[in-house]
Amino acid sequence: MEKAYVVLNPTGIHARPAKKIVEAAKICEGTVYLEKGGRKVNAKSLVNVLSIGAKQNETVTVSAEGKKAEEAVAAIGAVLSAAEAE
Amino acid sequence: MMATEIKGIAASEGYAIGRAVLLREEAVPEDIAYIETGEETAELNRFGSAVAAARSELLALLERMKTEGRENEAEIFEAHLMLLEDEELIGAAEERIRGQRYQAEAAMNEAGEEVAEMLAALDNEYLRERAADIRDVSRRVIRKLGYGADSAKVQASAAEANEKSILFAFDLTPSDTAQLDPSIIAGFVTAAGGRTSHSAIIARSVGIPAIVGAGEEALLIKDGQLVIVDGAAGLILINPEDNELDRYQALQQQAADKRTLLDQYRGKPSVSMDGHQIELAANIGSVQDARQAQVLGAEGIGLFRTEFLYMGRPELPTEAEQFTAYREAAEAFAPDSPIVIRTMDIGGDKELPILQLEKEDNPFLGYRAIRICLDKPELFKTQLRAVLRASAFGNLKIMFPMIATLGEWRQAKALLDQAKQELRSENIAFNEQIETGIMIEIPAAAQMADRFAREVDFFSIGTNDLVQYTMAADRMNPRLGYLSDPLHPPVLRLINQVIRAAHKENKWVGMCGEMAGTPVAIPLLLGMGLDEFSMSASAILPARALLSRLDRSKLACLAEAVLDLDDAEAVWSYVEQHVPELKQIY
Repeated sequence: MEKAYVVLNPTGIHARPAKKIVEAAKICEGTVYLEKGGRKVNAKSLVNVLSIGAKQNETVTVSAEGKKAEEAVAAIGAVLSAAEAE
Repeated sequence: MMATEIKGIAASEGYAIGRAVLLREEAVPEDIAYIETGEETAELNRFGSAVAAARSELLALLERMKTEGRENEAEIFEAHLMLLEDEELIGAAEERIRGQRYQAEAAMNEAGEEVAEMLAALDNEYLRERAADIRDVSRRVIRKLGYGADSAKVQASAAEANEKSILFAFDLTPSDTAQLDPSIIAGFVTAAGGRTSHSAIIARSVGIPAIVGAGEEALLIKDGQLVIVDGAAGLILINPEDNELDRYQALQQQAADKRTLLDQYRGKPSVSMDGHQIELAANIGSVQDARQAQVLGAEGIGLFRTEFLYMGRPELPTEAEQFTAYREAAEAFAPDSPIVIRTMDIGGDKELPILQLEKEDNPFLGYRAIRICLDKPELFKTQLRAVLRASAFGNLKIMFPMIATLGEWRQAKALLDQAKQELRSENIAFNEQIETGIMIEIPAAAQMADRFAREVDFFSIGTNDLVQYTMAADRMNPRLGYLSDPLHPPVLRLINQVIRAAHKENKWVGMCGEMAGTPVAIPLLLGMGLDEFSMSASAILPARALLSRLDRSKLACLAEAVLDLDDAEAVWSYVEQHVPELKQIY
């Protein structure tokens, strides 16, 4: 399954949200990817999640396959669309 | 020797004077060393043990931070733990051992540098700073492999000198910063880094003056040179002239005197010069804030912004989770300390994706707070049950936000009664006498305060919204700043009216907006008879110190006089002129 989200956090996906995304990705027992601007990375790696450098108002596509894929995608979506500044 | 001045980024406030100690870059393996064919498995095992050792070291550090209540810092090291499992970092190092026969130290170093450089090249300050976290993690593993010195040498070299030291380094890892002992290290300066780097965050929480991003010229310092760190201005003075030294010693003295003055008011009741007692409480958003507020002298919580429990997460917080948060917040204080739980105020500027709220043209005038709760009773009741259950463990009070009509208050109260009934039938303990009140932040409710006062147990005036609704000025709009002042007489008249209405029915009134901690407002509110002042925790000790110098009996006239002035500006100067005590504290 695949779904696109707009990053609402004013400071982008920095350390804290990135950590939450990795935690959310680990819900899925299969593979989870994030894609931005043609770059597709493994969402279970903090380094990878940081490396896409997603900023506010950019669109990130989340895709997952395997057990609990939907849960993982929804959880990642919630982090991406959380508007709170930290 | 000439005095030199270097400008950097002010990362942590305060003034430090001491002798420079230059921390030379920690040794990292420069050349790539190789292992023999056949040694791969043994080397991978050696690497695995080092990673495991780094992991237990981090866990111990985390444990210590949590018991010391340093939760912001703990979060940084939780991310480090996650990095120790990261395929792109640890996996990449293992690949170099397995595929290219690198020695473990070289493999870790190269994998770490590769990732750090990739992050450093990104067009985002927050992410560039994370390069330092990657290097910290990979160096921790390298140290566990037995290479290089332990970062504790930072402290040891500084402790040799008897005078306080100012540490200079290219960059400090979060681990280095967290281990700094303020009794030895008076301040630090780094050539790299920004205000959001983790070492800067940690410096602020430990309270060490610090300057980051000072550039490589800062590293030309010689050990033992006299240095002043001005953490407020972001200035480093090397070999300062005597007059500069005198000036900074005076500034340090002033800051110390102020701390001493305020410290006397810690743990004391909040009483005016003529013996009138009020309550000084804190506004908080988490259990961690509650603990900090207690340390900073709060007598209780006047506003728990519970919506923060709902935000930044994929699902709604459960009853059990909320119960734990409310109970722990109460337990941060002495038994019976008042803890006012405001039911969630989502909407306005605070979004909650899971509720899928529609975008509105005027969110501050829209579907928010109690308006959502009355529309979604199940969501509301989960929270009410959690607060009620926690009321068995402390003096909790419930407060409903954004009430405009008596009908809304009665509906909310009815849902609370339902929640109580449910708990009774389930034999779950709660405080049957729990106080229930409303926030007065809508002018409609302020106008009807006399009617509300007959039914509620208390009011708490939320000035941030009351001001914006009374003056019809969006408080987020910087061009309307002149309208967003709570000292405008129309706002003061409403506040005065609300306090009178409550007292007539023998109910107490608090205030939980910014205004309650605003120095100039305190004498006025005291004169009007406000019973509880709830503010950011750092404003509490100064407020208590001011209160102890105020004669309440003389302030009633002052409070009445300002109601007839033209505007906020006139009120400010009138109060400043008539209350000279303000200058003694602020």
